[in-house]
Amino acid sequence: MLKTVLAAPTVGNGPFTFVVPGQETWTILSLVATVQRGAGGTPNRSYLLTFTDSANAVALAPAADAGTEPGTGTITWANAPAAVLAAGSIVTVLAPLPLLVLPSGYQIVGTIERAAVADQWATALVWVEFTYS
Amino acid sequence: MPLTTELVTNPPPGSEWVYAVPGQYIERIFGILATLNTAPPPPLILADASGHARNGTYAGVGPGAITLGVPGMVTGDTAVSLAAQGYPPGFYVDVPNTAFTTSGGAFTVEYWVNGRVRAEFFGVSTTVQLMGCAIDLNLGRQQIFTGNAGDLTAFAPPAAGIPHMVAWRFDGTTYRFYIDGVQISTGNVASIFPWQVPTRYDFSNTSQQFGGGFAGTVLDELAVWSRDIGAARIAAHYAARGTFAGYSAAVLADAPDAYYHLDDVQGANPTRTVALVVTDGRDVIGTYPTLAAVPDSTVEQYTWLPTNSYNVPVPGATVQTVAIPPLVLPSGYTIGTATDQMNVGDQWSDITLWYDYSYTSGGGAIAEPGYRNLLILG
Repeated sequence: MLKTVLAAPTVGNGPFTFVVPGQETWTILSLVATVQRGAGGTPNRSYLLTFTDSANAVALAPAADAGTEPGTGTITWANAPAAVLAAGSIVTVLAPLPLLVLPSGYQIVGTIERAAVADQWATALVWVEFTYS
Repeated sequence: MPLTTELVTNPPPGSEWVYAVPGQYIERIFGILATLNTAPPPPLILADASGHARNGTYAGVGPGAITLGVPGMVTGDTAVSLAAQGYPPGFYVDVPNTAFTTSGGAFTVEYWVNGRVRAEFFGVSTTVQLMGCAIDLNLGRQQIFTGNAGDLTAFAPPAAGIPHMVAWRFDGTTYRFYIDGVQISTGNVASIFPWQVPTRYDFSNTSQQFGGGFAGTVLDELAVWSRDIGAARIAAHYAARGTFAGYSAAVLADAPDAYYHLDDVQGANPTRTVALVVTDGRDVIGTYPTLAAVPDSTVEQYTWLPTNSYNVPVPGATVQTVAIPPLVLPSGYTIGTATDQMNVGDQWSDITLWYDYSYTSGGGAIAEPGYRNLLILG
């Protein structure tokens, strides 16, 4: 079965988090996040998904940044080659991610690396195929 | 079997990590994480050109405190510039204490500078100043001092914006101070100089005597003698300033105890390249390279996943997604890294394998929703 899950709003330039609910197993088909990119951040800001088993990181999926600041960005993680496109302050990024299968309790945390103070995730949505376990 | 996260013990510095699938297991690898911290570049050596191999080090240098390789005072040479720094000093030149052979006796110090510089000599105790000389060529002030005692001299400032040769001689009783080969001050300050063999010269471009910081001071061609070489030799050095070769030869002709061109260059270790190597316990069955070489002083995080490779560089903390095929490995198979040009100070850490597994005894199958059944022949 397919479904989409929206992450809770973030605070400041903090992370978003998805937690695979109890008795479910998720196969991650894609994750799309939009970001407000503030001015004055460290050059070469990046975006990172960290997959954990609630105790240890088991996989990372980085994504690059581009474009001018301030601006907006849409980051998609999916099982496809990387691509980055910037038109001025508007950025679109595609970052590789395999079809990870995550049991209940596993977490996906999205962070902005070397963020500017005004950076903030606007939305984060994950598209999954799920089964009950 | 359920997904398993296994942490691999960090190897010693300068060593690779390797993981062996234990006996009677078959493991299906979903992901591998590891972090490589590369060693810093080799120490910056302050090279001694006197022939005595009294190399020193640049010490006490904060970020941006000095810039190497700026145009030198002598044509065809390079030098060191000091950033605007408050007191205490911009950088220390630590020198092996064999540069001076006499204690309490005569000495000569010569160097090139523009702007302002405060040079202090310290002994074995780096908190007890032995003696110092502050000179501000812009203000036309010079002071030789130790502790709170010193002689202050005013002089007509030389031409601004160009380098000048500064020298001071001490014959055991009297000091003489020179700019561009010409004596501008003298005094009897034996009581100021109960000095011992110094081990450090420190330089800053600010001064307690004159106050404030000064950006862009350039320092070059520091030579020291444990004797008074006399006024004629100082004048001869200045006269030979037309070329680097000529000036250097003139200084070396007087056999300095130490002579630093200050044209040192920060070296670097070779960049490292990393690959994941999979073996059947005997032969390599796959080598999966990462995307970018790694320089010194870098934290490089690798995530090996069955997807496309992708390198996201962040200064000092890059994350690379590295493609691997789906790996199903029986017992005895190994996974590990091969790091070309690995430095003894490099360190692998945070090594994590994520997999599920089955047992080989009696055969079995791995079946999970969304995956095809995988029959394992035992």
